[in-house]
Amino acid sequence: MSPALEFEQVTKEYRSWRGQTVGALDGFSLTVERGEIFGFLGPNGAGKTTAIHIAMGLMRPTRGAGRMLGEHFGHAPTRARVGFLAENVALYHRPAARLLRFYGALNGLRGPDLRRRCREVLETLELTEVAQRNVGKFSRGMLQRVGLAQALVNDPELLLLDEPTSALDPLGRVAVREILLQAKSRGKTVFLSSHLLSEIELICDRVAILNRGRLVRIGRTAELLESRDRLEVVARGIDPAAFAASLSDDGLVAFRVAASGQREAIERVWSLGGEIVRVNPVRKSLEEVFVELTGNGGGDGEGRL
Amino acid sequence: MIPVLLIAANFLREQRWLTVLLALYAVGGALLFGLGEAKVPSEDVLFYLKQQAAYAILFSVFLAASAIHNERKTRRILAVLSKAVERRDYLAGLLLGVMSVPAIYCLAIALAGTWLARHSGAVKELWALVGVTALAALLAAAVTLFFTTFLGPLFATTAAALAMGAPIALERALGHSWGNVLPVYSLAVSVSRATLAATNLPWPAIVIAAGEVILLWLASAVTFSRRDITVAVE
Repeated sequence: MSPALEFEQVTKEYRSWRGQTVGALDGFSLTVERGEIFGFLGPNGAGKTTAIHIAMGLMRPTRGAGRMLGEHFGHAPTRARVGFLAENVALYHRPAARLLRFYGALNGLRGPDLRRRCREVLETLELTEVAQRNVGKFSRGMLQRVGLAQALVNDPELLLLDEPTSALDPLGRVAVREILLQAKSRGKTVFLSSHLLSEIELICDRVAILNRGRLVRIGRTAELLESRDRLEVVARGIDPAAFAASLSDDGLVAFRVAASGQREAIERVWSLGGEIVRVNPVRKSLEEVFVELTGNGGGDGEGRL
Repeated sequence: MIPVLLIAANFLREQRWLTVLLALYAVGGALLFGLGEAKVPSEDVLFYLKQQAAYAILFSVFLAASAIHNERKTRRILAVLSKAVERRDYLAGLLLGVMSVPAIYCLAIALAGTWLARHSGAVKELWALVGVTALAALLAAAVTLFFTTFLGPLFATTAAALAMGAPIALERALGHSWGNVLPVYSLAVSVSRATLAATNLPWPAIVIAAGEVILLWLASAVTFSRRDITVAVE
C-alpha cells in the first residue's frame, strides 16, 4: 500500500512582480505512513502551511513532486478521501448543519449517507444543539469545531490539520485528541501541524521538525525526546553530596552524567559502596527539542533518528 | 455538475440581498413608469428596458471582478478547493453564480416590462431583448472572470473594459463585422437601437457570444489551475 503522504524534494519559491524570490520550502522530502498520527512542527514561517497547501493542491511546487494516498498532489478526486482544516478556519455564514451538508456534498456525499455523516459528526463535535445556528455568530472555538466537522464529514482516510486546536479550550482540546486517537484506531492517518507541543508529544507516533523550509529532524516521538548524550543514574546506598546536582528521595540518589562519563560514574557508585538501581537516557520535553533545533543557529542540516 | 450547482447556489446565497435589491429596483422602476398610466407608450417601455439593461451588464462585471478576490480574501476558498472540486468546476460554479444575479435581475426586468407593455402587445419582442441583455451580461462576466484569474479586481475590471471596448475601435477601423470579435458592445448596441415594433436579433453576435463564453471559461480554468491559492495570513 502506498504511503499516505509523500513529498519528494519539494521546493517552493514565491516570486514577486519585481522578480524577488523568497524560498518557503527547500528540497523538502517526507513520507507519512498510513495509520499513524504524524506531528509536523516548525516555527512561524518555516514552511509548514506551504507544505500542507501543496499537498492539498492549493499551490504548485516550484520543483519536486509528491503523492497523497498514491495520487499526485492536486488530484481532485483523491481529495474526496481527505479531510483538511486550514489554519484560521473561514467558513460561509450559514447554519452549521447546512454548511456541513454543503461541504459533504462537494465531496460527493449524497442523500441518506450525507445526512447520516452530518448527524454523526455534529454529535461527535458536540454541535448538535447549535446545528441550526448561523456559524457567523459562533465564537472562534465553536467555529473551529465546525471547521473540524467539515474536515471529518466525508469520513476521510487522511486528515491534514493545520493548528486544529489553537482556538479551543482545554476540554475542547481533550475532545479533539480523543477524536484523533479514535481516527487512528480505525486505521486513519492524521497529519497534524501544531504549535501546541504538549499535544503533539501526547498523541503523535512520529514527529518532523521543519526549519527555514528544510527538514531538520524526523523520528518516533519517544526517540526524539530521548537525549542520547545525557543519562540519568539512580543509585542507593551513597551520600548525595558525592555527586553534583544530585537529588535524594527515600534513600535513592539521582544524578545526571554525560553519556561518555557513564562508566566512570557507575564505578564511582560501586567504589562508594553503593548500588545502581537504573540508568536511563534523560527524557527531554518536545519544547526543549524544538528550541534546540529551531533556535538561533540550530538545525541547519537534515537529521534522522 | 453537482459541485458547479452547489458553488453557484452558494454564490447566489451570498449575494441574496443584492439580488433582491436589484429585482426590487427593476420592479420599482416599472412602477414609476406604469402607475397611473392606462397605457404606457412603447418608447417609455423601451427606455426603461435599455436603462436596466446597462445596469445588468455593469453589475455582472462588478460581481465577476470581485468573486475570486473575495473568496481568497475571506479564506473561504480553502475549504471549498480542499474538497473533490476541480478548478474548472469551481470557476464554472462562480460564473453561473455571478450570472444568476443579473439573470434574476433580467427576469424581474422582463416581468416588469411585460406589465408595462401589456397594452402594447410587444411582449415577445421585449423578452427577446431581455434575453440578448442577459447574454451580453454573461459574456461580460466571463471576460471579467478570466482576467480575475490572474489580476486583482481593479486591474481585472480595467482589462475587461479594454477587452470589451476593443471591438468598437476595430469595428470603426476595419469594418462592421469586427464588432463581433467580443460582442458585448455589439449586443448592447443592438438592444439600445431596437424598437419593440420590429426586433431584429443579432444572431451572428449571439452565436459568437455563446461560443466565447465557453472558450473564456476554458481559458480561465487553464489559467486558474496554474495559480497558487495564496491567502493572507491573519
